[in-house]
Amino acid sequence: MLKIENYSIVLKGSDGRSLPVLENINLEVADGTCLGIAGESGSGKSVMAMSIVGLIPKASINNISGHIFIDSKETTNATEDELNKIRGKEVGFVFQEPMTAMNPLMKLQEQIDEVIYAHESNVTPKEAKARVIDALTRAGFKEPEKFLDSYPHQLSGGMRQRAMIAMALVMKPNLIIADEPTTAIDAELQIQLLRELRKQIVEQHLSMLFISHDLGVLRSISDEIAILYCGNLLEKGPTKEIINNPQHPYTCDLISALPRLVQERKLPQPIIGTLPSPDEKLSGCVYADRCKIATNNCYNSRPELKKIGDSHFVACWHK
Amino acid sequence: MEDEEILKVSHLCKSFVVEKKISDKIKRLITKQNPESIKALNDVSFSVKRGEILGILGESGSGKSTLARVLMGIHKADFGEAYLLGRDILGAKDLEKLAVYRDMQMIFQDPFSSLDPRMTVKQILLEPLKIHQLVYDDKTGSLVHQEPNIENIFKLKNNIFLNKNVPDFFLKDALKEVGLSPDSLNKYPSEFSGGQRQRIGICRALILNPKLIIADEAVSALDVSVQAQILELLMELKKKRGLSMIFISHDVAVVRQISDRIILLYHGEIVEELPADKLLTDAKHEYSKKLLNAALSLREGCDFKFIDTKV
Repeated sequence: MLKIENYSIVLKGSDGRSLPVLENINLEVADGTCLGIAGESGSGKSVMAMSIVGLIPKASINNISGHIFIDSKETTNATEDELNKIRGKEVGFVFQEPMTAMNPLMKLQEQIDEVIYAHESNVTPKEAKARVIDALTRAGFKEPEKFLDSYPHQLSGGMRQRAMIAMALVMKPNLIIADEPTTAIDAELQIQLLRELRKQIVEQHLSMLFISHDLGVLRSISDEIAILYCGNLLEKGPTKEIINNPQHPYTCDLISALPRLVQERKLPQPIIGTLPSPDEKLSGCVYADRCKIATNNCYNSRPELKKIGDSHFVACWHK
Repeated sequence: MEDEEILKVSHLCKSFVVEKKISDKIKRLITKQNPESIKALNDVSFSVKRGEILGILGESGSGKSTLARVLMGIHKADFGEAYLLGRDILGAKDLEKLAVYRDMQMIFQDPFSSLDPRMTVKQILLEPLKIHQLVYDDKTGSLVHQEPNIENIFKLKNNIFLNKNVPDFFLKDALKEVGLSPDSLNKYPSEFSGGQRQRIGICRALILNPKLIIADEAVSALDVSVQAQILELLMELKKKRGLSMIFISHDVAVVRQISDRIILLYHGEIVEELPADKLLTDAKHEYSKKLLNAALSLREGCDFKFIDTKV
């Protein structure tokens, strides 16, 4: 469904510096599955989501190499018109902050049918309304008819988040890109939303790219997890493998940084240090500076992703 | 004095009037009905001991932020009392109020909007000292209270008060305590990452040497690895300074890890109060169980993932 091949992107910094934000990414999302991407802020995960549908402003790009395919259509060299046909129709987007992603002056129905009219001009108002209601229902909205005339500020946080999901679902796309859609909401609501999304993946045979910094969330929704750090993939594999048998030191550290809810009380273990800036031009492993088992070799040359098990890949000299 | 109660809150109530349309208000005034209102806090009583971290759990809308805001004097309580070290918080006025809040400071959720982007770190740290009119005393090496008088208030207005009276090394030591490099002093907030900004916020709260810190979702906006760093810092400060803390969050796992005792709020009422060690085993209220279940399946593996027929 989605295929990213040797993709690298170099952005322009504020003072003209070149910032390699993503380096040599290879990923694939199969039909009807969910790939979770885990990474801290600054790891390049949002840039990845945006470059799939060409949302990075041309003016801020220094150089792009590699290919991105959606349903075997290449988006990396597509024109703006071609991209507009893909955006919203073949690829739905769920953004993190529903309050800023929605227009405060538009009613719920208008927010969602705008997507329909952007792609099809000959839809009758009645049909549009039916499709909006259908999308809201699929997003787990109870009694959507009652809220069609509400403005975003009149909806609760959970309703807004569901409306965002409905916007992504309304054109029945084959691929959904969700960028931290459940961050900073209550656990119960998070679970409901994840359940709704999972249902769509299974029932509608939808593919999904789910981005989050929280491995706990990724575990509950994705079939596969890829770990992104400083623009490089450090590990990828089936969710169970990554959670129960993490191989890269960074993945292990990420897991022990998660707050746990078990009887034994132990503070989550912080990862010492900070993410290197993308313009540091490291020649070695990007995680070497914070890694507990780094050796000289790690600082000098960069490890490639290598296969260590059934579709389990890791980029580390020590594995 | 291990068990000394540092903060005592009793029967706190706060409701907000909900009137969406101006016509509703006019109608109400004519008919002299009581306004329709939502009870954000309903008869909330609790206490915090010295050196204790009290966790307050609840989902959004449960009144946990209202509680912090009422204690900090941002909202006025409808009813109830709160005493910090024996001093009335809610009824305090002017200079009295200033003295109370010197001992009680707040850490905010959003490290981006809670720091003024036009102020340097030095100015951010000096601001509370300026408001509380504290000067550095060479002999004791600590901050002392300058008796507020007309002259000082005049100086305060002209912004010259204190800037010369607090040496840089005092501020640098404060930065070191929260794990920031001392040369951050002349930088602006935009030059720091989210975690570092949160440390600046903590440093600002600690510079007055308060006895109680209110942390409202202090780690919710941070990445997990940074979140763990900040939690570690808060624990360290608690041990070193004997600080008491009210730690408010919607994240059950985080609250349980850091708190000694936990209160669960639901629709503005305390439905459960128990030691953190017993949260997983002894919680009785229906709502607590619901909250725990959700958090457990999110944190410790999920049951709902395999809706498909594969498994």
